[in-house]
Amino acid sequence: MLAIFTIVVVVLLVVLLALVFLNFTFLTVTFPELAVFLASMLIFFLLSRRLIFENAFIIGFLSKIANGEPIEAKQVIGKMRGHPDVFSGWTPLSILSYWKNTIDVYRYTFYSLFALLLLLALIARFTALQTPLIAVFLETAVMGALIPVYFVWAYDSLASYYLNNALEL
Amino acid sequence: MQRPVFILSMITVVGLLIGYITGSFITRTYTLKRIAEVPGSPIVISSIYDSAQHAILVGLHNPGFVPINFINYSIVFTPGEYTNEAGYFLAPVALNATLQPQETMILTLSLKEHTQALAMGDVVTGTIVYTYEGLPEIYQLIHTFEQTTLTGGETQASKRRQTTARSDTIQQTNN
Repeated sequence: MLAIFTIVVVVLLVVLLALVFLNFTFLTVTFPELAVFLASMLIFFLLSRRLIFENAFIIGFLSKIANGEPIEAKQVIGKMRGHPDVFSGWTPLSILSYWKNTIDVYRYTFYSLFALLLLLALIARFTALQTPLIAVFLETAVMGALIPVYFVWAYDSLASYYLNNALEL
Repeated sequence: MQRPVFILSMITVVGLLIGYITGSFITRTYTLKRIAEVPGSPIVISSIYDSAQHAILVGLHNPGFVPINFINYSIVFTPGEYTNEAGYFLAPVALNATLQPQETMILTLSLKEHTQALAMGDVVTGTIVYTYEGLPEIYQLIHTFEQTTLTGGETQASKRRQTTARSDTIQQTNN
């Protein structure tokens, strides 16, 4: 079921991308930076998909806990990928903090990729006397990637705040 | 539990900043690309008569963002009342000069050989023909130089009149 859903989502995204590029064909001929911007933004949104959605789930559960609403471990496990039988006897809060830790690796990878792109753009920008064409495109890619990076940062900092409050750290 | 007011306000401020940065970047890139396609007509910033070369030195500035190729120039000499020289027309002389964007250069418009130096009241009309890279049209710049001193050779700013006219055919410019 999940595999079918993922395939459908990927196909829809590809169709959306193709439609965007067909619609912007005329504009991208004279202004190809727009295509680079959109492509970079979409690629980084795809990379940040797990981070954004799972942090959103974590924020939702933790705000329920903070408001005093009862939640069950089964609800949390149902939203979570992985091995549900590992968590027998765990409290919802411990599952949530474990969940938050498992997606840390994606966060570091995501930020590292953005930092790499930023570094490449800065190198292209400042090593040559005359600004080469690729520097403009790399800069545009950085600008497009800034938007998913902002969302990831915002969701992650909110989730961290709620988790620290719930754990009374 | 208290609301995360500080984090939410920080997220809002950073979001506004990132929107400002990306939006202004797109606008700036797009505008710069559009501006870089704008051709500017050359402006005569100075013109003097040099008696040593027997020529008129015309200082030209390119205010646009496209290089200007100068093709040729022709000269019409109209005698004033203090000279014995007869009026003449110089057929177009080829020029191989390119004026880069936002730069200034001096063009030497040589007068007819074995003629007297310019006297007061003499009027020299120079027609400079130029094109832009990637544009099929041919343009011309007509500059009128009037000698305002009794004898030539002194560095004098002349009364300048400048008109640019657009010609559709080469024949029209060669007339």
